[in-house]
Amino acid sequence: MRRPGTRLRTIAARLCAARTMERFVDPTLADLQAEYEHAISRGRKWEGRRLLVLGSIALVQVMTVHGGMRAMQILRDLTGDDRRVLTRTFGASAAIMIVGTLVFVSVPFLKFASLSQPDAAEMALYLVPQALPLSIPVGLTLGILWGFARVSASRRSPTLILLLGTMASVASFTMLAWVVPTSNQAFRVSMFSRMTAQSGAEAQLGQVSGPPLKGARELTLGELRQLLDPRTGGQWPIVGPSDVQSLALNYHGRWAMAAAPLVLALFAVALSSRRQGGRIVQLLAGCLAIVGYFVVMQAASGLGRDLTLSAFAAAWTPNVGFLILTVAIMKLSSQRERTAAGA
Amino acid sequence: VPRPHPRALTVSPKELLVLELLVRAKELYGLQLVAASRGRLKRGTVYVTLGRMEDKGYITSKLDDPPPGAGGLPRRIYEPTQLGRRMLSAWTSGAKQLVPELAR
Repeated sequence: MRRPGTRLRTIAARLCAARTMERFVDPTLADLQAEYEHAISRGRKWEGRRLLVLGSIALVQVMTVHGGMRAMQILRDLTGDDRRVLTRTFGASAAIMIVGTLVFVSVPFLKFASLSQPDAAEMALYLVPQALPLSIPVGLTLGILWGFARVSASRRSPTLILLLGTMASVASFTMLAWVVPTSNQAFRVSMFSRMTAQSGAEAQLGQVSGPPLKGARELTLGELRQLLDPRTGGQWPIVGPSDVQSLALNYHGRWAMAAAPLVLALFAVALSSRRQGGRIVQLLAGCLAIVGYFVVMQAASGLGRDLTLSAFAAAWTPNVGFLILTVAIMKLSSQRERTAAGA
Repeated sequence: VPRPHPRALTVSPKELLVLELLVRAKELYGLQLVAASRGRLKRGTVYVTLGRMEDKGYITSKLDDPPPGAGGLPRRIYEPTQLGRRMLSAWTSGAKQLVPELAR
């Protein structure tokens, strides 16, 4: 019989250094196994299960605390160039994200609402979440290209930037899975109430008394999954008969869009390592890349909608394409470095 | 035992507690330290504290015999070093000098 914690240890071994395993992970798991087996040998099955849960939580805590301390250590060991690169990257990313968010909020706001209405601030607030999954990857990509230009940072800087990319992807995922659908629906309800109050349409129509039905973009990731599942989809009360492919595109598209910050951050780090051209050239290349990403996304979605591609393939095409491009750029850079070292 | 720089010879309240418990019991497992501390040490952070103390040279650890059967991990057992014992005694006597009530 396999001992408890064996799978956890396999996962941890893939993520952690040997020293971390020896000092933190293995002692915690050894405790878990010893406590569990002691409880089972006394016939206390439920006590054993409780200890398994406690031990697993302890392992997560140990790894989190240790990870935090490692990050602090890395930050302390940064060189002056590293600090300059990181400060410039964070500053530029944040500034571009703010500007991008304002632009992505103002376009739908000016289309559907106006500044003169009393609930203008509330309406604008509802539009912020849908802007963030776009402004985060754009800001991060351009911020990295701005920050890394003309500075030779150590290998720690790209590592920290990729950590930042991962965090941005997690934040994007949270937005796309739960926050954006809720805020979109709140915006629609607010608009609907205002329009019906203005025209008295609700009174005339009579039967339209509830809030507007949710569209695909207003469904959370869990609701979309349920709708796409043939066992539960047919009983769904929120939307009427929908195009399944369009819902599947929406579902897979959210996962792919959440991965975009990390994919584009990797691309930007690879591009900045080529050190060709000045900051402006790098930024222009970054802008072109971002436009290219969204063009590929639109084209792949089109192919997905007319069933040429599966929803999954259509959603992930831009990310896969950019990962291939990133690997090609990195290979070219390393070839160039080898040639320069040989000469 | 590593020879730390004097400036690295700091000790936190949690580290003092670990030293006190280890000096009293001679050697303990991590979970025994958690149990003996009566809630002052947590199972989720005790190994981080112990790892830091090993780096400072206050304690040392060795692996116990592995349990019978496949896949069992050996438990790690901790004991204080001479430096750790001296640190505890220096801190305790220093504290007693500063606050005489502690000596009673």
